Amino acid sequence: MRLFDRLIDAKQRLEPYQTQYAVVYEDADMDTCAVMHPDPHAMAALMAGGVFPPVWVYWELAKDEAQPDFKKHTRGYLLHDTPREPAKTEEEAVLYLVMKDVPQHIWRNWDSGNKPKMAICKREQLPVDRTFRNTWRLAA
Amino acid sequence: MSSFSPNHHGITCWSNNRQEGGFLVRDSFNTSSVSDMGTGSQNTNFANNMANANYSAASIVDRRSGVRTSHGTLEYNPSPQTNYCRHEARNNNGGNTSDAAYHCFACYGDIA
Repeated sequence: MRLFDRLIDAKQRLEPYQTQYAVVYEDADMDTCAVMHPDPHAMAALMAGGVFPPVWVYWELAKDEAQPDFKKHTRGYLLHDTPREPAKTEEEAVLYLVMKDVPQHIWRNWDSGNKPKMAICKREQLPVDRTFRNTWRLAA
Repeated sequence: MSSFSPNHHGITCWSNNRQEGGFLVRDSFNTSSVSDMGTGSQNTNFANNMANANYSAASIVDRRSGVRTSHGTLEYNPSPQTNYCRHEARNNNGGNTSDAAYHCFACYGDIA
């Protein structure tokens, strides 16, 4: 079954899972920090297993896309045919999404330099008042 | 259950998010996560990549005091992105980005 069809099937079968975690990340060229919120349906699919491909598949597609002559993906079969990820805990699922959706140069070097570039936190630790959202930075 | 070929022409990905008063992904399809990129600005990350960067996207936000509209923008720098799309909500009065209680996004195109 293709990944897209597996996602349809998972959404019909599984209750969405709203994780308690969020991932804050930033880099020198970003105006403010970003906060990655895992999708509840993706969390449910990752925790059930058998839906998502290994995360390296996305890295391979990213390599293809980074080529200057990139026009379209020709290795989409990696998403569909690579053996699927087994069931994960909530924390493992969040780490998978970090490695998939946070820029690689940030999570691979999260603790190098003058201060951390990334932090996994509880959603309740994030400010609710967003008046000054564009001034948010990770604490040193 | 429907089966889609790589070049189907239905909605490929969608999400309905709250940014105002604390970020929340209410519901979605083919979304692995949503990144809050700042006031009114979000990246929707796709679970199944798009086949190429020539897809179409739209976003809409709740209307408040008749001043808010929404712009969907694609990030094309440094190269086309098939794994996410950035979309923003902006006010009509000056065009500043603005958080919304309902910030919805839909994407149409071929999938990888």
